[in-house]
Amino acid sequence: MAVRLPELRLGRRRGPGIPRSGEARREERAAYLFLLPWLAGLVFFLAVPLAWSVWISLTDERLLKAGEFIGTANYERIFTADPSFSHSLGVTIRWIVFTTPLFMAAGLGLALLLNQRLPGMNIFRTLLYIPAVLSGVAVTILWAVLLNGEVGAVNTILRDLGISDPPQWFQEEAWALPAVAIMGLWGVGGGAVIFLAGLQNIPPHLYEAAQLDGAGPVARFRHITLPMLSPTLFFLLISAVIDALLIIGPLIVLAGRAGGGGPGDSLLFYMLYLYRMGFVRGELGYAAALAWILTIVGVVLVYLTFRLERRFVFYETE
Amino acid sequence: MVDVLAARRCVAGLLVLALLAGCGSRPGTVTPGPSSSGPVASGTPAPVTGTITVWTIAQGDEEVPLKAYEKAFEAANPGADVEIVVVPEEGYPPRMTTALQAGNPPDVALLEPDIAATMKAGRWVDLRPHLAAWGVDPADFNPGGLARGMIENDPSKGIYAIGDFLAGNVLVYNRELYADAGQELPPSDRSLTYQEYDATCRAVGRPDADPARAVYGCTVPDFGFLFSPVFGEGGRKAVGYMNSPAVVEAFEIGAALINDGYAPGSGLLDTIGESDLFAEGQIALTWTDFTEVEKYQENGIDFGMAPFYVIEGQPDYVDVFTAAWGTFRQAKNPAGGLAFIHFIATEAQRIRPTVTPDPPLSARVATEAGYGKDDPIKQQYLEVLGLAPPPSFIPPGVDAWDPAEVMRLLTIEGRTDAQAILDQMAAKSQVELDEAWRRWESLGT
Repeated sequence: MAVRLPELRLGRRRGPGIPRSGEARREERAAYLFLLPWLAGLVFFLAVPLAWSVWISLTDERLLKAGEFIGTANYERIFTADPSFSHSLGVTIRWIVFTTPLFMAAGLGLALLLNQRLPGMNIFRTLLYIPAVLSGVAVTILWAVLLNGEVGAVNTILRDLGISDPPQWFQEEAWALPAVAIMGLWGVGGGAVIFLAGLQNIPPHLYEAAQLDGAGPVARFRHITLPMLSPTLFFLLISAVIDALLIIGPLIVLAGRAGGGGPGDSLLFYMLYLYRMGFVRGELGYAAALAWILTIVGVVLVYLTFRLERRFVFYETE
Repeated sequence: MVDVLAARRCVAGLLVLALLAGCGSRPGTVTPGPSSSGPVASGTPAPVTGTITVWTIAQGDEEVPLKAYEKAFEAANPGADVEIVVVPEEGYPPRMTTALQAGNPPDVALLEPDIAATMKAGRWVDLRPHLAAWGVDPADFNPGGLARGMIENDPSKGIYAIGDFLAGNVLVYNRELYADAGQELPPSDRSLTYQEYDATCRAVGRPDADPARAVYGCTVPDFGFLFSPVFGEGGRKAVGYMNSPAVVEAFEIGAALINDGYAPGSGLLDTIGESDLFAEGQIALTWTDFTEVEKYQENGIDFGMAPFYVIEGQPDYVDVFTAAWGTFRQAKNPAGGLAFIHFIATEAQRIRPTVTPDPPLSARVATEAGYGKDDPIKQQYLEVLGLAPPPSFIPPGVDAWDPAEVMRLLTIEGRTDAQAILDQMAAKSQVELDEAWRRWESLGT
């Protein structure tokens, strides 16, 4: 005799072959109907393109010529015969290492300032957030003019301050990347607002208790603010790493539409190189292989970041 | 309650549908037929109807001539609606190639050098039989301008696009500044050598640390080095040409002019262009295209024109170009596309000089219309353009050849080893050139 097991409220069946009521089947069909647009989107706009890109990375597919299967030749070329690959990856990794702590520290510093209870603070918060909502292309062009080596406002001020030979910024190999970082610093308002939300969620009684125990501002920051803010820090770290891997918009404006890499290829980020190979050279198969390498690098970096979570991120509910 | 089996069946069904969709005919694939020329018209095309999409890059003048063509074409073809789409220049090549890949190109488009490979890949209609049927002789058109619509600048391999005007990058000089310096004017019937350019620039220029007060003797545009013979043997050799002593000396001369303050640096020119500086009377000798002439005249500049400067031993040189229009084998309105190209090759040649200062691409129409008659500036312009040599061709994709980078190293980075820089660049360019030719020759019509 078959044993009829009760069905859990969570919808988990306890065994096969147990008949469902008509209402349950109707509910199920309705659920799938509502899910269908999202599922169709997932399949047609994500799964199929991903599968297609895996396939063409194994071919010599070009924009103007159908590809033929060439196995792992694209990947072999990347690792053995393409100096621009290692160069662009190096530029991108240097960017991540250099700017991620810089932008996060700047964002946190700004948030700490914005967290003060002073008159007009809302106006400051608005003003400092505005750069984050401006068009990236407009901002890039603005900074290209400001940092113009000969007539830009920044170098004019530097010369007035007695620096006779200021950097040529976007035209000098050693200064192009720092110039892009300066441009990025202008937009830390977005991260600062997220930090601000995190700061304002820290229970004030923790600071009161610490003050009563004689903790100074530095100790309070180190033992209360940072641990309580660690989930926000972690989220922003992951976002910053992913954003840094994918940066391309300002670089196309700065380095030129042909996927040029800036002075001495100092701005040849990985995504810019990928764009050049895919859409300027038209080598779609090769660009797809580059994209999958980037995906693997991104997964590794995010995995390493999640390893840090266990050690450095404190959740209040733990 | 979720039936896991039903969920799996649903997702599997979607995947099967997706795979079936993906297994359909690959968009953008064009099987070369017996002819890539489409149906051949006889005589002037009959009036056409329907929408004709025309893609162009921004022309800087709000597309005045194109709008004039639209009006005239629609008047001659009631029922036709010309839809002009202006694409930002930076985005034009990827947008065009992806439209072709998707099998969804416009009916008519500009054939820019960046997308020359699409010609080789057989996506454009070969206009030769149509031109013959229309009674249009390609020999009437300036060969330099016509080259933009040909494969490897060779008409025997097809003519895929035709331009409506002839433009050129020529040198323009300020007569007053030359008179003040007591110097002879640059000749308009031959090209100065780099050495002569250097001498005249230093004789006329008045350097000043303040860019607002400087009078520059000349400019040294990066693209000027593109006109040097850096590729030899049919465009297949870089080593020995790109790093030849003459090319090295040319770069050294150009860098010295900038470093010594006789020519403006790229930083200044990023904010104010040569034509604006020339119109302000701050440059004695620079390059221009003819669309800026009106600005010089409005500013009261007394100017003349000359061909571009060259390396010693190189023939006289003028850079000529056009906006070349073609139609596609996959056009949705092929008859409309061809009719518009016929219009460009015929009527547009007559309309163009009436709405812009440029001469038509057809030398015959220019003569018939009396272009330049009673206008010494236009006459001199035509004389200078007449010195343009047949263009040489190299396939796209030689990114290592970068004159702007050489000049940046010699000026901003302060390096003095032009020979070493060009030796390295020539070696890298040779590798890319060999690969570029291999890729180019693998594309077939």
